[in-house]
Amino acid sequence: MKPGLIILLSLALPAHADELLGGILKRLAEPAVVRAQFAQERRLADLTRPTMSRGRVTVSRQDGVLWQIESPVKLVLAFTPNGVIETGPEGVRRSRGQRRGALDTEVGRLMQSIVGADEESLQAAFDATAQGSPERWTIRLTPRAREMARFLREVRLGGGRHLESIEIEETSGNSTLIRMRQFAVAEKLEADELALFRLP
Amino acid sequence: MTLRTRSWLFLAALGVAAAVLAGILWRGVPLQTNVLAMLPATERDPVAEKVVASLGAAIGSRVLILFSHADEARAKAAAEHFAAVAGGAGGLRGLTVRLPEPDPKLLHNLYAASRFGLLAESDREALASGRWRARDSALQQIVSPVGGMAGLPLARDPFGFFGRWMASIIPSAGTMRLEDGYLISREGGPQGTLIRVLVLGEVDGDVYDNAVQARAIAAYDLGAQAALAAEPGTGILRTGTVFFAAAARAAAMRDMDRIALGSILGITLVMFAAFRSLRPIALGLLSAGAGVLAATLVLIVVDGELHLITLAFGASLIGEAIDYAILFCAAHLAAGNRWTPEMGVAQVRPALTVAVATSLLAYALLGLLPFPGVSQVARFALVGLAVAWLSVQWLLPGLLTRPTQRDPLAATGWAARLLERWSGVLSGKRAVVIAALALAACIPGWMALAPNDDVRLLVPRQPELARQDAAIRATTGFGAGSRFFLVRGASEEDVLLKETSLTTRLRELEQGGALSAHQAVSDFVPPRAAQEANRALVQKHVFADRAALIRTLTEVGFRPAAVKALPGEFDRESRPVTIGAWLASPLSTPFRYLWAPAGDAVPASVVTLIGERDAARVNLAAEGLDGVTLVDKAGSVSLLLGRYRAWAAPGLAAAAAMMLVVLVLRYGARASLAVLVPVLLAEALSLATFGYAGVPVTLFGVVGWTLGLGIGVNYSIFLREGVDRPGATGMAVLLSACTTLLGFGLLAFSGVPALHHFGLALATTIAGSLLFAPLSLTR
Repeated sequence: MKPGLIILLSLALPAHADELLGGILKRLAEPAVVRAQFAQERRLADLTRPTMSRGRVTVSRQDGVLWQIESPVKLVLAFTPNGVIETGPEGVRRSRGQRRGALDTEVGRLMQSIVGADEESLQAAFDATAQGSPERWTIRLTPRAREMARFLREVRLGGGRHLESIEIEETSGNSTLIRMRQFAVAEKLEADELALFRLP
Repeated sequence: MTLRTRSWLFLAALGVAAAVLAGILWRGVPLQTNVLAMLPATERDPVAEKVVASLGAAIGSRVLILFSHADEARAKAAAEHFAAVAGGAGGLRGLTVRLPEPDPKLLHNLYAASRFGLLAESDREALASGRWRARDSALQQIVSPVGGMAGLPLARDPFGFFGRWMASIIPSAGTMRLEDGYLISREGGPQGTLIRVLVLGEVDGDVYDNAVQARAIAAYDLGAQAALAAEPGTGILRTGTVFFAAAARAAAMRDMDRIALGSILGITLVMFAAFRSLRPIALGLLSAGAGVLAATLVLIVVDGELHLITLAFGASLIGEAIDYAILFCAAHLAAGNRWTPEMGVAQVRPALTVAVATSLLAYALLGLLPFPGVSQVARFALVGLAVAWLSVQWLLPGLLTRPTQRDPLAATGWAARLLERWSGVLSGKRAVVIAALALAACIPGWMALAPNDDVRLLVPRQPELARQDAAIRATTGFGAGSRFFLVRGASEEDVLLKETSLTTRLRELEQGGALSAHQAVSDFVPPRAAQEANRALVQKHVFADRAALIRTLTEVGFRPAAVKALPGEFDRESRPVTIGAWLASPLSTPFRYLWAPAGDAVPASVVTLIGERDAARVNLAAEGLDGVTLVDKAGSVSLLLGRYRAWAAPGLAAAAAMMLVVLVLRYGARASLAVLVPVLLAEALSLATFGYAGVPVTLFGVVGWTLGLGIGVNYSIFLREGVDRPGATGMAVLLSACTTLLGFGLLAFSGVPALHHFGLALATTIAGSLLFAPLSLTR
């Protein structure tokens, strides 16, 4: 085989998968705060039709993920490494877990690592494979620990400069598709956003 | 009976005692290292005392070992290697690296039939407030990206009540999470992320048993070596009562070795320098040895075991017991060729008897203190000194029949001259001035005295182990302190109800940060009344209009078939979860010790506290709650130590008064005061030393002062009784003080705070008594 052909072949091969994954996650982690609009479609086994919901999502590297649902019901979920804090339609707040419930702590971490595309916690919790190019990619995540594998089958992420889609498949047959758009990057959270991360 | 036969009989008795003791020790040294065992029962309430013991056993046998490595697979492998090797070695049992996969059915079996009566705090409040809306609540579950993800299917728990309750009872494990059965934490550090894997286990047996301790430590060491050999660079942290107890034992043994060796070497040197012969040393050690042997044997037979403090103290008792033999040998040296053993005994008997009488009196006073440990020390001294005293009269004379070859004047003249010169300095007006100046110099020291009754002074926590313990607590959130709440009631239900009034307050403290968490049975099994009240709330706000409920659920999208069964389930699944069912479920295993800690006959439970940061506020949590008491063993023991310490001044005065009675009988009123003054001055100086050195006044220092009073007065007695033989008595007093300082005084360097305080108090008192002893010759 001629050397030129080898060079040609190696150029044709996609970038090494680990490098691609690392590159994508590093790039996603660059902004301190990212805000976007989301539209979510949940398909639940016990429901006759998919349920649509819309709202705003704010990802802060430092504090976690703020999930502000605006329709069909108002609800704010703050996913932090320590759990989930809910703020209801009338400002009624409740901390799920935090100091105590380890289960909610898990869910909080899970959402923070998925929506926040946090490299370290994603790599710890999932076997991840990336495909595509740094400009247009998909990442497939399968849970590593049996505790999570019991309810979560697979998560697929897609995007380019930002994380644009999340597909969650649960073992129960439920699935969730989230699309995000209108991204805006910021240096830090606003005070009212920060307050939603604080315990009631 | 001749002198020789009596000596041989005494020796034969010692031989038999030694053989018996050897026989007992052959089966293992009955050495008690549990410091709490030397303390009295503090709780007036026997139930609380019993619970302290049962909880101590339940928590005390645990070991936690944390393996850390930058590489996850290596950290796990190190933990596995450890568990395999240490588990195989015996001594540690139940070493768990990977928890078995929990059976999801267990939760279902225990709680499903009771689920409509189980509500998280926030849901109960929402329902009771009347602001709860079925439609919003169901929608929130559906649109939340994680709604219904882990737990029951949405159609069976459409509002998430049961899911939230379940989440509230799963105990958190600090920063640790369960991954594939491993308890793991990941923490970023300067060298990147560190993976920590926790191994749980138990000591196989009583952690305060020597053999059990040795086996457990050996198993740990083997396992840790294997883990390090397999995965070099692994960090290993450990904690558990067994490690602290073993370290304390090792430290006490080291102290004892060092102090005993230092005593014997120093005493031998001093004695050889004075007597130029090995015989007095041999006789002295024989006499002291007889005392220690008899005391050890008697206490092991009577008490069944020796406390390590008694043992360390016993090693230093050599210092006082040897004084009696020294007095005898000094008389021998001073008598020159006129010596007969009968004459020697006659010469020293009065001084010895007054000395023993005052010492025994001081020790007997100590023996009255209701601390099992202190009382054992006192009884050890009583037996040891009595036997040493007997040995000087019955054993030594037969072994020291021939007169000395040395010129008595040359051999003891130096002591006579020294005594004369020192008496000269300390006489008349000058003595009064010196004493007054010494006392004046003491005043700032006295002002600086500060008491400390913290019982933790008794337990020398090895700093490295304490550091590892703190690191493991920080990572795992495990590790209950010694304080807990005891809840008692008329019945099971009553106990649970009282517990919930307590846990409501504790939760407020947790929100405020005064406490990290608590463990209580009522969190797993709410009182029946609470479950029924919850069910009534759910009935009123959720299931009152069933048609409307089904309509709302189908409107938000549920398939009618999926939610149709819900009202039926509510009706059927109405059985409250009970203590019996919880105890029968494997889920309760880690928490079972919380329930009925004083036996099944006493309805009671324990609420343990994790991560107390504001003890004063936690103390108030039981205020006004009937049947709830805070049990704080360490706290109440500290309080007790303080109470006894507070009795120190009157106690010392009483001891001095008792001595004065003996002295007055012998010397008359005026002269007996002169005999007592030197030791009283010494005590005053010793107290000031504590103040200047910043050493806290503890009960153990007080014990040292009490003993110092007994020993220090001996020097004055010896001088007074031997006033016509200044060479022999001067030498005996000097040697006695040196040997006592070498014996007890070395305890001042002990790493065990209690022994350190004891040794320092005694050494300074002895030194002062020696310096001021010639004052007793003042007429």
